[in-house]
Amino acid sequence: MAKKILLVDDSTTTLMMEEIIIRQHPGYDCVTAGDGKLAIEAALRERPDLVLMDVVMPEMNGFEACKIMREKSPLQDVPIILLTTRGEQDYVEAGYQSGCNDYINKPVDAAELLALLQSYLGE
Amino acid sequence: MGKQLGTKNRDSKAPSASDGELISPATLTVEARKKAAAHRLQIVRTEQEHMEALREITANLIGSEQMAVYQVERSCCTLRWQFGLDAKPRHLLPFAQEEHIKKAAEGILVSAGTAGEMPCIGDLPVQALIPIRLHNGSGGVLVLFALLQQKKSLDASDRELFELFMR
Repeated sequence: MAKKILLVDDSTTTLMMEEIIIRQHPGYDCVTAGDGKLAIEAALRERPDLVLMDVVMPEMNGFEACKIMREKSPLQDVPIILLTTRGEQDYVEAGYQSGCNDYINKPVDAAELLALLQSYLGE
Repeated sequence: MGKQLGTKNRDSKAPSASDGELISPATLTVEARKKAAAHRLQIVRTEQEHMEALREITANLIGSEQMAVYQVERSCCTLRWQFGLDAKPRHLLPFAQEEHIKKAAEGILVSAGTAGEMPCIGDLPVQALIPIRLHNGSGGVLVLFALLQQKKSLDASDRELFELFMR
């Protein structure tokens, strides 16, 4: 059974790029959401195996969404990877404080992303 | 296809990068960026959407959040739009004083790494001057300023994306 990945970003361009990369792996399937609030709803409904989420988004940012997901019992152990254009150390620390498991920077690199997914989801 | 849950453009669909064949991660990165950017540019209907598409692609796929768009006039370029800059860049760039801008206005891509020493606009060092077609049909120049901290330099695959902007 394919592992389900929830992709969260307000940029449809980023979502499309991520989907193209992830769908090259036959063992992964994707669902998408456009902001943090929708991500929480989608995560509770879809029960993904992993969440890959942008930080800077309208309505609710990735840090807040990550914190709330960690408070919801069905999502407490789901790996969350935050993805952002902001590579500064204080952003990275804020990401980990929000409860994420990993943090990667945009622009997305397919090798880095697939290796990270594999480390959490396996082959 | 992934279900689209509340994204800005619900008609977006993710094409495969290579008709189902597995390709190397390096090639996959380049192809995925080009397909996503080309799709984004295809769906713009207004000048505002065009500018937003350029901003989104440049920030998310190339790695610069500081940019400006100039319109090409007879003997200069005039500022039409800017994003991510603390200070407003110069409004008017006369070709007589700005050789790199003149080149870009004539349709030549001027990019760090291929064009020798890059100019500054005001105090802002320029990374790339990309000829584009504005939504109103006139010529334009997209100027990229600082790259994101984690983006060390522009490379050949970035220049492939610039070529999409130039069409």
